[in-house]
Amino acid sequence: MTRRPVYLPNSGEPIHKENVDFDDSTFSNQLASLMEAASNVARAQTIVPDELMPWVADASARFSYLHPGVGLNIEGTLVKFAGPGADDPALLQDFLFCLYRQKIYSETLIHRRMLIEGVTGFANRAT
Amino acid sequence: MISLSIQVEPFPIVEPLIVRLQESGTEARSQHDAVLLDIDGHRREYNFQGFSFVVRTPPDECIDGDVLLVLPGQTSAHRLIRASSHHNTLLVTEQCDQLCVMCSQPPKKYHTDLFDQFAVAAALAPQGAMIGISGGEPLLHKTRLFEMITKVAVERPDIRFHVLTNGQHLEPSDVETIFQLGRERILWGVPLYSANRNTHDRIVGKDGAFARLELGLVTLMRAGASVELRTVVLQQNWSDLPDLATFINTRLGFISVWALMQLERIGYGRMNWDSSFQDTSTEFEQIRRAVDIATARGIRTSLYNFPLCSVPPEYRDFAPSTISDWKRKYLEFCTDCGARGTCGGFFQWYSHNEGFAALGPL
Amino acid sequence: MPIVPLKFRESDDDLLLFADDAGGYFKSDSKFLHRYALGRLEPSDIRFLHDHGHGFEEIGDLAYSGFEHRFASRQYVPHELDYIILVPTLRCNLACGYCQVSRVNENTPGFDWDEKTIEAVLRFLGNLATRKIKIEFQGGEPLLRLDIIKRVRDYCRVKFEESEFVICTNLQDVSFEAWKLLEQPDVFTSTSLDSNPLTHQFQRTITAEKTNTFFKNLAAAVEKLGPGKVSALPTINPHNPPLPQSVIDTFLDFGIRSIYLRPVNYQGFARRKFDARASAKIWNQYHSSFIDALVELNWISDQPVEEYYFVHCLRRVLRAGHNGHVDLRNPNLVGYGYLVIDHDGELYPTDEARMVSRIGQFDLSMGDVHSGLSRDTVDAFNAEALNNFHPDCVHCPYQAFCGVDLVDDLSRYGRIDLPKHLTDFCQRHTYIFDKIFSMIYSDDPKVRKSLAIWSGSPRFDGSLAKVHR
Ligand code: SF4
Ligand code: SF4
Repeated sequence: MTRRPVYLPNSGEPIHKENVDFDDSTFSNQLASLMEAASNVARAQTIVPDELMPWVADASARFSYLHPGVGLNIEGTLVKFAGPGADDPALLQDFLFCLYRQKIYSETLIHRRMLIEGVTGFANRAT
Repeated sequence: MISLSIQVEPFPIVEPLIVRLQESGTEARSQHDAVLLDIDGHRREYNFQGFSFVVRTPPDECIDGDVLLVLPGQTSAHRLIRASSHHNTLLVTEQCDQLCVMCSQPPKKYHTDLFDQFAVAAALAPQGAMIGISGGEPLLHKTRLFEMITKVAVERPDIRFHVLTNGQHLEPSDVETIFQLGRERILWGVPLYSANRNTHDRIVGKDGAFARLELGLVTLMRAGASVELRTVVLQQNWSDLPDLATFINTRLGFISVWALMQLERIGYGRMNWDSSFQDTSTEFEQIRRAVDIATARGIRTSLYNFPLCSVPPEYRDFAPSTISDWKRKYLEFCTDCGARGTCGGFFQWYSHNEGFAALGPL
Repeated sequence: MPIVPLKFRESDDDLLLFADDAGGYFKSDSKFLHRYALGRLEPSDIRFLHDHGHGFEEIGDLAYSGFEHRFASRQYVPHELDYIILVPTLRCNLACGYCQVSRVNENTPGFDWDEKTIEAVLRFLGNLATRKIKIEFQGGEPLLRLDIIKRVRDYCRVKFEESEFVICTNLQDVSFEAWKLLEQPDVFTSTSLDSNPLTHQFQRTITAEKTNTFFKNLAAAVEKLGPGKVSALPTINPHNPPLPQSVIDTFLDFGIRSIYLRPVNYQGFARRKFDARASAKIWNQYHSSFIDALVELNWISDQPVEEYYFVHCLRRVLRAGHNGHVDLRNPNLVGYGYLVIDHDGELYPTDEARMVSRIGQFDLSMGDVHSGLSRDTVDAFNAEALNNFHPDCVHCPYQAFCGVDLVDDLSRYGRIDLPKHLTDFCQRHTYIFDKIFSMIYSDDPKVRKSLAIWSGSPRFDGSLAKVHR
């Protein structure tokens, strides 16, 4: 978790590093800041294995919710990321984890419902 | 050693008889009460329904409230309930379907059904008594056993039972009966020797025993029963103990207590002593680990039949005194031991030159 | 062989932590994750999962039933109402900076139970079905109404088979009569000891004279009542925290070895002044350093010390059925096992709910002591108070150990549907479980010694930190 503190969900704020303060800076300062911000808008892409395709939609939704600063674009099995730090390998890994989690969740939902029904009978409260 | 039988003068009966001995001057509270008339040396004469019933016992022995089983034509009666003891056990059958390497009461072929008598005896026990049910395998006669316990439960709701069973004969259809008898009524003592099914089966001498036992334990879990899981520590399962602790945590979290027990040198336990006895006074590591794991997991763990000086100091709180009064002895070096009051000592049949190598007064 | 659902999270040692719904956990690497997620487990994986209670042969077998039992024991089932918090007065003889909504000045009229309310409270207690009762007196400063405490106590001692009373007092002004009360065997004293004399004075007593009085009274309480009958809570301001060592030293001076650190609980405006999210982070850092200090201390001392909530969470990780703490339960059904009767006779499910209602955010009242209990509001609330299907928690390996606190969410954010990872509750608990697992998987003998002490076993066995490779 320490490897990518910027994206750590628990750190709270989304990643708008490019919020540049123009108030009392010189032009060159502003330029430098803008360039730095622009260099933060990185891009990356990955191919989703066929067997995980059924979960791409759910995983993308969840990924965007966890990383509101990163744009996602899906074309077939190709997923493109754009935003500050989008080329961080950890971010790609997180996308893969979202796919895995979605797959595991949907495939085990039956088991979980059965468990809860058997034990407490409140599974019908689930959304 | 306290005797579990008692001499009686021949009494003219054709059926087994249950008699409760009452001190003189008391009223007979049931048709089973015999009231003391006279003590003359070893001879105590009782009034039993107007007949003279005579018991022979040392004059200083307290037998008031004891419940005897007198069999026709026999001059030795079984002291089924000793009113002054917390260790009363009814041996309901000597048949068994397992053949454990350490069995203290090796099975016999034939069975005499005395459940009716046992039911009467149990109902005459002192207030709040916990009565052991043992064998052989009591549940080989499951229907009769449940009848007996139910009968006592109705008459004497204060009486509880400690049933020692190998768990082979508990089935899903028993859940309801056990549930109805109630969690407080019965403590089930069930042996499990290893999480490795082959090791367990080998120790109990029965193929498939582990698998049957798993089903039996599910039955007890579903019935909400209270269970004392019993593991005799042996050379055969010594290295399995930590894994067994993990097994218990994942599968048997419902048990009331896990008892790790030292071997009793009697029956097959004596025959197989050399190949089975694990000297825990010289090496404690596997028990240590088992206790550590189970305790961290919140499973109450207890060391039964361990002389306190065989247990490392930080584990002595886990070792209550458990050897029944009538089976217990101490050794010479115990005389100057400060822990004697809390230590359970040794079984009568323990033999020190073949036993623990590193003991001594605390 | 079916495998139970596993959730996973990266940890600081390049491995992943896996945990199931019953709280079984282990670590493994990302290769295992791929095999698991893609349905390509190898026989050695399956054997490991089976041996450690994450798999079964068929529904109803021992492995499945054991799993189900552990799962069930982790679900909190409310018991009958047997714990009542009473607020006989809101008046107080101190004016602590962080306590604005739960007090008024000592001389303010109209903030005490009147005779009618007292009688209604006794009637309310009289109608309870339980045979054992625990009553906690809060305030304000409850010792200002010793008369009420005594009436309630006398009533309970007759009505219930067993009763226990906790007086939450600032120990500022303890009369002879009050000492006599506190000395009784069924009466326990709970007070606030804000870290050390300096902080205590800054946050609570303001003047040196009052500070001295408090510390004298605390010493007298420990001496007269014994450390087992006195508990003390330190309220910590995470933005300006005392050194852990000074807190520990102060508590040890009074023979108190269980320390329950609490962050200042700002209400209303004061809460808005501090960014709640930043607060969680700062609090977590402080708490972590406090735990580290305890580990150091326990290594050299034969008188072990604990942080109460941390130990509670540790035990919740290791054991099923450890549901004793009202702040960490799932489902967190409020308004059943215990409730609060406020100074005006209103009934609330929790103290926090009382605050939320008082500052007018939401009305979480459950009726009043005159007209009786009405659970409609809290039941609607309770229907949401579980994490089993929460869209964030279902992916979190800490789900089985964690809980929900909707009143907390409501009071901080005015809503209960914020993404979990943005809530203070989730951030604090994510931290605390991260910390616990980093300790469980640590080789440091100092850490292992403290873990053994806190988990109640002579040693902390290595197999409690299973790694599957
Ligand atoms: S010396 Fe005897 S009494 Fe003392 S602990 Fe050892 S066995 Fe027990
Ligand atoms: S609240 Fe947070 S830490 Fe707790 S289970 Fe949910 S996601 Fe995990």
